[in-house]
Amino acid sequence: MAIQSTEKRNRLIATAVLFIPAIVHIFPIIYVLSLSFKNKTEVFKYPPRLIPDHLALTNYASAFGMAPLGRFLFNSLLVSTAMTFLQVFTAILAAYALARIEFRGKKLVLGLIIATMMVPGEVTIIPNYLTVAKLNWIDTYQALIVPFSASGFGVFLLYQFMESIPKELEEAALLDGASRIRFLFQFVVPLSMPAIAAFSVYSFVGAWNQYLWPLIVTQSTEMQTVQIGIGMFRSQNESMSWGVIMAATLILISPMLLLFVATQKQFVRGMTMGGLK
Amino acid sequence: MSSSRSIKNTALAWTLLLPTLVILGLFVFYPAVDSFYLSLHEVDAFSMKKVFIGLDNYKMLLISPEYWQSLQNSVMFTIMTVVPSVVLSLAAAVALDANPYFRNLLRTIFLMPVAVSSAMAAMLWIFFYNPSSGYLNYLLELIHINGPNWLGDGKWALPAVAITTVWKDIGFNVIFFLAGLASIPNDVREAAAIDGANAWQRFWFVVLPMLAPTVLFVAVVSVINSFQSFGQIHILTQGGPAGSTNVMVYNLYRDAFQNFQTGSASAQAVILFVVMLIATLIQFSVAKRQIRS
Amino acid sequence: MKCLLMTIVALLSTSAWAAPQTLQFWHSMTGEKGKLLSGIIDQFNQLDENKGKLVVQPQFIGSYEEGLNKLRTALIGGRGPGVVQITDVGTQVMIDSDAIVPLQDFIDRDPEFPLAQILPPIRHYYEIAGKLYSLPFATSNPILYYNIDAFKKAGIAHPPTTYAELEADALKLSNPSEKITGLTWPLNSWFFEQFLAREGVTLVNPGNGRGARAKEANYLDPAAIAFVSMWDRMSRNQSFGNVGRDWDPPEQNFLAGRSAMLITSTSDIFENLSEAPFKMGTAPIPSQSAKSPGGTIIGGNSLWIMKNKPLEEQNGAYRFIKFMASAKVQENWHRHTGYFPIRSDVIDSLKKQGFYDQYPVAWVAIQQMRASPDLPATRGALMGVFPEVREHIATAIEEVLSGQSDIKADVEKALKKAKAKTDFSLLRYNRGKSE
Repeated sequence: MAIQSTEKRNRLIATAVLFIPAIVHIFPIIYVLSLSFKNKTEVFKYPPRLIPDHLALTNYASAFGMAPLGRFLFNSLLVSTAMTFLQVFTAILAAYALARIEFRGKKLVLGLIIATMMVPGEVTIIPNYLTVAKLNWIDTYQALIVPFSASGFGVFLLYQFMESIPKELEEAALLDGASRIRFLFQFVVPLSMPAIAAFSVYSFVGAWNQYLWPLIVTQSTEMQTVQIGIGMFRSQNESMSWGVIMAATLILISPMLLLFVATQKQFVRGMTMGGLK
Repeated sequence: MSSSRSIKNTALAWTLLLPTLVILGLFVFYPAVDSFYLSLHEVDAFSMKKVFIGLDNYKMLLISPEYWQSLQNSVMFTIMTVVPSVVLSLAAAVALDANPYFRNLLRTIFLMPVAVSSAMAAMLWIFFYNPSSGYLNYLLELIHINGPNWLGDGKWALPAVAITTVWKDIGFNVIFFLAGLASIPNDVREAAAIDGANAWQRFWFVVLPMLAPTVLFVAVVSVINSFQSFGQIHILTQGGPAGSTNVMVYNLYRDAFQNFQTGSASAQAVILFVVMLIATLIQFSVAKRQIRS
Repeated sequence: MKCLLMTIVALLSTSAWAAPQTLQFWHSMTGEKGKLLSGIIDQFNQLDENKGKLVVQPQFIGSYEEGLNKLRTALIGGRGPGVVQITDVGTQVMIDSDAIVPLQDFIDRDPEFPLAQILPPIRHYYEIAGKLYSLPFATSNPILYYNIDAFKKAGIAHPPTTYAELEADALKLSNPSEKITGLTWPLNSWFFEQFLAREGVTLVNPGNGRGARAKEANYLDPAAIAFVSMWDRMSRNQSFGNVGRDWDPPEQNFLAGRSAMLITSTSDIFENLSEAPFKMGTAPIPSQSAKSPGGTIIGGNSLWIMKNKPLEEQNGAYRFIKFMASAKVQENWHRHTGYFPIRSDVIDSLKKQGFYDQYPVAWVAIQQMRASPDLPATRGALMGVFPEVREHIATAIEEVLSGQSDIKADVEKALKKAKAKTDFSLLRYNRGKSE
């Protein structure tokens, strides 16, 4: 009896205590939302009020006028989708080979692939930049996609998952005359869907959020991704007030936020994949 | 019969592996080795001509005032972000776990920065830090504190960037702590409660020890991430003012892509890799000792 | 059949069928200046000798950093422009890049090039060991703009010529309660460099990097300390308006009457003159004393011919550069922008036309530029790490202006820190390079 009431009391305290940090935690987004509806003079009014006196709806339209936001979103979508697809596809092939086929040097290959997961981006970025420059790929989609079109982590993840699929299924299918490739895509892939889905989320979000690489390989505004494009709004000037900057921020941040809210469980599962690394 | 099949199999295996191996070989292995190679050379900015100079790049970094400042900044930044973010996200996770009301809403709120990149997090905070009209200084003034020019003051710029980073990292860390908490069987906690332990004792002596692997994991990941922080610095301060937010990876970026010092920057990349490796190893050994005690 | 083929081949190889040589010209001019530049390029392309044979295609490549980056990646990939406009501080980097052909190589083969007409102060910046490497193009100096009406009201007869007068006048003209300052300019290393040169003091040694490579910074010279101290004093008594690093705000303040004096580039002379709602005058920048040796350094950018192109394209590039150096183009450029003409005959011609009677403010600028003696200090510093160095100096000045007090120790400390950083940058840059 006593335990239940203290439990209940603890729970209520936990909830109350949580609400304040929760509000603090989400405040930046609320603040930016409020700023995005303020015009030039209101933004600098002191003391600041969260609800603007006049709703400056034009900020959002102006944001589109300042920079090709649609183009940034398109670029990010194209690059992230392509990168994710290629990483998943190459990982499926490689993981299957490692999980199901015996061949000389398999252990070494697996070891090398796992080793690539230990290499941080800083160590590869300068030579990769020089490689891309020599190939004349600077400021192209290839430069953004190709260097990241395979993932050691993806291979490792799918390899582990595929290993756990019983071998008998495959042996039976092969005896029936099915080709290994058909078996891979008709049986193994569907069975591996949980891992593939989680990895896809992880890969897509990672691609979307990339900063340093797109920063150095893009030169023209048209090729910039969302993350780099927002840099154009870093400070205000004659034609661009903070309200417009905040509107642009919200426009460019909403795809990922909406995706998160809509698919929270899968999204979270995908992000925890990074933990297995 | 079986040998021809094994040849076919081997051929198939290598074909399936080829795309991955080519990409990883060209864009991970080769550059990793090349970075080290470049670090031992003086590389001309435009012609890419290389002159072997041994460890000179590394020796020069030791006498570079800006490089030492960047080392210091990175260490300070790591401490300023990892400690608060681990503590705060652990607290938040425990509270979220214990709380049955508005579960989904509260979880969504706390986890939400996971969907925000470091550049976007910086944009969300940038006006907060405005010295005259930002909300942060307004709140401080309500409690009679004169807020500084956060992003323009050499003393406060790094903490400001750290606060933004902690905010962003809490979302990510809470996920792991929640997963860790979920894996602790309820009967263990109930047993402790029956034994007379209160909530705080249950947390400190039962939950936390069982959560130790997760805490270690989160700490290691946070340390590695903090050493690689770039986007928010590029947006908020560009390494300034007066180099106060010039962390190691930012100094590397400037030397490689603005000053065109390929050799020196490559040496910085190698050093950064070693530093992160050492930090990780230290954390593991400290954790091992804790676990033993 | 064979006859037909041979005829076709013959026809194809005549110049009537040959595609014109295209010359990529990368530049950083925006707005009105960019439009003017495009017009000049059109004129060149329309010349009879070029029609169908040579076409210059301009391409805007952004700021100096962006442009240099684009140039570098293009060169690594074996591509790039035929002619590129590079800002003054990039001179050493371009020479060291081994990717350019010195302009002198073409001039030596062409007695018609108007080398003698190019004004010595302008020529000397881009000339090393007697070799002219690039064509000076958009060229300017620092100059003191002042509000004649404000001066009259304050009872000041003529613009200041020494530091003492500058400080006194700025104080007299300022009114902190109304946020009116006597003097303003952006927080940029450029002012440090210019005022040092005005005293005949080099920025780096030996000899500003003009003979042998620069090895160390000269920031602890008494002239440097005196200049930064003066800046600091004026900032503290609010006679100097510190509005940050951007070039626009100080100019806006001056034109709005919020600052009686402004020191900035001569390239804004005509624009400021037309926009100022008050009577505007110009004067040479002040020196520490009346006896100060030295003068001003020219700034701006220059045009370079790239090496990784076939000889025919290089010759086309030279023809284009020669056109840009012609009297007609130089007069046009000077009349519509504030930049100096690089030729003395253009100046003489304009003087005869009464142009400078119409614009005496411009004549002051021209005289200041011509009066600059030929010293290593006034030739301008030559080093490959100029952008980094400018950041070191700007940071030092920021530290001084926001520091605790204005005692001499603060200035020395900040300059010492900057010197340590610059010495390292120079050391690192010079490795593996010839003297």
